[in-house]
Amino acid sequence: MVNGVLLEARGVSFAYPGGPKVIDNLSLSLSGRQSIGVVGANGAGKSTLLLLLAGALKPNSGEIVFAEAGRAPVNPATTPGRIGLAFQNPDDQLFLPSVSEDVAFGPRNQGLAATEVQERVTTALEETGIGHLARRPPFQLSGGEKRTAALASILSLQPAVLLLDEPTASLDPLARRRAMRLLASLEPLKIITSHDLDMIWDTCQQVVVLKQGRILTTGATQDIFTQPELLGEAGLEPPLRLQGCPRCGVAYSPPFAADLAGEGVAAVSV
Amino acid sequence: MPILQQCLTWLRDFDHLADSRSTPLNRRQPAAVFLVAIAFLVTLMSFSRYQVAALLPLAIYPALLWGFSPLSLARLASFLLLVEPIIICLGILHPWLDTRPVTVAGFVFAQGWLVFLSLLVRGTLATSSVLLLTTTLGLDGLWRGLRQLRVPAWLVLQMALTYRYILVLLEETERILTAYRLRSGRRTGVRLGDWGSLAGGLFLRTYDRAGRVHQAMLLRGFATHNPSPVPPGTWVAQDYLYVLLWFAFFALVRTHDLPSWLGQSLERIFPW
Repeated sequence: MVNGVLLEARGVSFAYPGGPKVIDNLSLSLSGRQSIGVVGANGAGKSTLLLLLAGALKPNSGEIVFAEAGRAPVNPATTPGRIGLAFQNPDDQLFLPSVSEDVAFGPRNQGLAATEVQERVTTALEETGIGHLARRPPFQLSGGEKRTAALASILSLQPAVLLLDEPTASLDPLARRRAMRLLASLEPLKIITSHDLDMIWDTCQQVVVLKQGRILTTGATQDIFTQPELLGEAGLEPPLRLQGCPRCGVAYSPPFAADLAGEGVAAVSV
Repeated sequence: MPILQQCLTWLRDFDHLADSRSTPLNRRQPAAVFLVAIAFLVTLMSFSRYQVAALLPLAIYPALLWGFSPLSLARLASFLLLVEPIIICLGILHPWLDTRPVTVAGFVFAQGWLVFLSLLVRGTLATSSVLLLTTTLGLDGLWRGLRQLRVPAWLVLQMALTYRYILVLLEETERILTAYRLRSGRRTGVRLGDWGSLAGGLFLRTYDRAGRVHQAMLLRGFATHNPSPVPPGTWVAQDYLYVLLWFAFFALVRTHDLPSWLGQSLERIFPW
């Protein structure tokens, strides 16, 4: 593992029992801060890759090593909460009777003292702007609120790496915008999977394109997303804003997120 | 409204009703409220199965709880109507099985009716007090109360998860049945032959969901051996007073037949 690399996948392959390979001999090094997007068509292996990176699934072959675990294979039991995963469906994540209990669940499992747990809960709720929902039962919240509560339950663990599976899926435009602003404000290295390439354009400096469990290409978002043929090969289309007006054909050239993001750009290498 | 949807609405209401309420009861330590509820249930069940009138003073407890609960009387009654048929089914055979004659207020009838009535009163009081307690404290309060009473964390977590699983199960069932209904044309209900596939699909979906919930828990450091701390809570004088007064009242009701004493007193005052 090269210095500065936080998470590294080495020749990882994975198949669900009785199924075909979902991830096929994938190697990847992730470092830095800010965001890396993982894009690909349905079934490309994006969600499975996140589960593998988080240590929720064990690779059939190859290994995923985490710098904080002394470069040992990633294991949630040895470094609890240091790699946080926000599931695609927040209902999978929220199970306790109140939002604050759910946000406190992780820090408690880390063995922190009650006062520190409370501090973490308050900070995470404030950071995500849902302090007013602290006492509400999670399953009564709206889709956007649930997603934010699920994110708060991960942030309270103060992870070094944040894995976000489709963080803006099924959100209305306002909630989507709010979620993107929140993601941009978060400190740790973020790996974001999404079909929403406009969102990836806005939030990620680097992008990994997956096709049938293999890396098709990686690079700066600006470079990859301006190659329609390459995206087409992965079963994707360029972000809507780059496609131009369907009537007059004039393309809009928005500022690229990385230009606005400043220092500490994330890095990905294969 | 389909019955499943109604169940879901009711279950969600349980928490919603208790949400952000601040009543004198909500300000008590959950453990204190819980202790009193347990004492109430124990007292209720300790009466002889032939006693009916002696149980009536215990109705004060759910009546006072209702005063602090956001549940309307109509809603409470609708909840009870769901439970009463079960209680009736359990006790309805008693009048035919226990036919020994008994005289009450000049009327002679089978002793089994007393058992049936006693069961009905007890069931109603117990159900209403549990419902009122849940809507007043909320499930969060109940779990905290259990932990403060030193119920093992794993057991409380199992209860919370079971409750969550029931909701997941109902939600998934509702989705499956709605999708089925929308493609059933004019036919109502589910065809007998389809039940197997629906139940199988439901099992797989809920199993899958449970697996993902478990994964999410593990990723947040969950391990069964992890000690979950007892929620902090300092008892103040009002908490002790709340428990002591109710304990004293339950002891009084249990050791003295208050309705009988009241009747005799009234007879002495108004001998005509």
